[in-house]
Amino acid sequence: MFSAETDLWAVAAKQYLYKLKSHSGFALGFVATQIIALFSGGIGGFSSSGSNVMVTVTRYTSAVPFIYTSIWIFVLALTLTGRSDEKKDFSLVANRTSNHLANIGVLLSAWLYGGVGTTLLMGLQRWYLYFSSEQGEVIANGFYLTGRSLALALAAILLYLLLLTAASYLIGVLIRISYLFTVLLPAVLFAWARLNGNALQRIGTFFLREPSLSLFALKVLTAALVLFGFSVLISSRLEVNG
Amino acid sequence: MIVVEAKKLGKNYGRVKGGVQAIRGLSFIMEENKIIGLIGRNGAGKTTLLKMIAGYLRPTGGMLRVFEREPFNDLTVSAKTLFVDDSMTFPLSFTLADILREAARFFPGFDAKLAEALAEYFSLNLKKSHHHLSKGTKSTFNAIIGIASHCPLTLFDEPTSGMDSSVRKDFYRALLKDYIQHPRTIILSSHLLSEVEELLEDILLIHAGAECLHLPVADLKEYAIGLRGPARNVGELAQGREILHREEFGQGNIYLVVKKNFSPERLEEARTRGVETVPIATDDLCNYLTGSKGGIDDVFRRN
Repeated sequence: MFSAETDLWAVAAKQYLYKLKSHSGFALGFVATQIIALFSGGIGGFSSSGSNVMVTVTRYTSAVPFIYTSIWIFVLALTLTGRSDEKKDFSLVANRTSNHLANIGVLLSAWLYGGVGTTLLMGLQRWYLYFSSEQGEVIANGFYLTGRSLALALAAILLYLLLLTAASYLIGVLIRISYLFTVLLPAVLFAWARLNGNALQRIGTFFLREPSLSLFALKVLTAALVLFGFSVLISSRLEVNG
Repeated sequence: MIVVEAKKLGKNYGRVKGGVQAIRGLSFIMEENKIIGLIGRNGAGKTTLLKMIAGYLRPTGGMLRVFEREPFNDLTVSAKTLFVDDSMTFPLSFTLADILREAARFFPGFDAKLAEALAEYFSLNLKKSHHHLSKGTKSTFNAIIGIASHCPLTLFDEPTSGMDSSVRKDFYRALLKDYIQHPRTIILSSHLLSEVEELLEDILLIHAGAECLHLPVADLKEYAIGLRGPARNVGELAQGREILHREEFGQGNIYLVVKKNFSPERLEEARTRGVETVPIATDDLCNYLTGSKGGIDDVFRRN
């Protein structure tokens, strides 16, 4: 009578919807960060003036919305893995694995939402720049997006964001295991960069300087899988403390 | 059918050296479809034990089985168990109505109509957010979830903390009525036995993480007897028995509480020699069993 197994995926799906609903505020938060990104202006430039001519150049980059999105998803990952959320998650039905599956589900939803949103914003940013400045003032290669370049941008943004999402989740889980990691992680990273900067650079090059999209996708997917898997593994024996 | 079984169960917090031993060598069996009282003083280990049964905490020694499984981190145990305490929290963005809806999704036996009726009776506004409730109202709402979920194993950890006395009485009555309609295993922890004893079938009394007593409430009422009278006569009657409690009065009178296993003739004879017999309230008995032998009087005697 007692032995009927509970379906892990069914519980994880219920938890996923529960978490999606309880973190719905993050969807609005994303819109807010992107509006700030849109109007936050260029990332620098210069002015020069001669006797009759004055030139002001402002540089804009799509990296700004992407950085905002990364911070947004990092905060979401830390919230999902935090202690205050944990007590809420385990109030009803849950175990570590179902909780991780639901968390990863929410993060992947946010990832897709944030990735697509950021890409669309790139278009919006161009549109805004185009109409807010007089014609002919915008100088850039690839300012006018083609369908192909937009698709490529979407793929690149999604892949970079996936890597960041998985890394954020691991950081969140480590901090959940011990608050010491809030100090330890930056310290280790800093020390590593000082002592063996080359290795760190090689890791960066491995991901960032990959010219083939399919190979880049393969690297990112594998890394994300490893990061998520490792997060699940190291926290499987963690107790629920509220 | 056995729902909870513990053998030499132990739980240490922190490192072994200098850590706290919250539960030590606890062994018991809890049967299906009973209301069991988990009684003990503050810090006796009640919450730790319940959290281990709920699968939140991992035992550090001995064996614990819930529904014939190791409960720690077990999804099947979690699906059949609900742990209700006053620190039960829900997402900030959820209203009480949202929480009831969610509970219904997670627990197949959840009785939404009952939950709403109880919420209305206790004047809870379902549009309110859970974290805006006062302590007592929060306890009331959590208790409603505990009752309406009809979980095969429901654990209530001090469920009435913060509730006023009329809400407490109503809660116990609601729990009992619902239990009769939907029998299940309920463990109710409390430090006030008198408040819950009408409800309970068995009690497990724990002290300093170890078992003191585990027996039906009816037996507990007959467990001990108070003897009051001249010190010599009372002492003679109680000779060779474990004294659970001792109080001294003026003029050589004494009051002792001992286990009740006297023959009626023996008691009758004692009465003729001026020894009065007094029934012991279960609450007092639990205090005697878990307190220091001399009681608070001891402190004043020493100073």
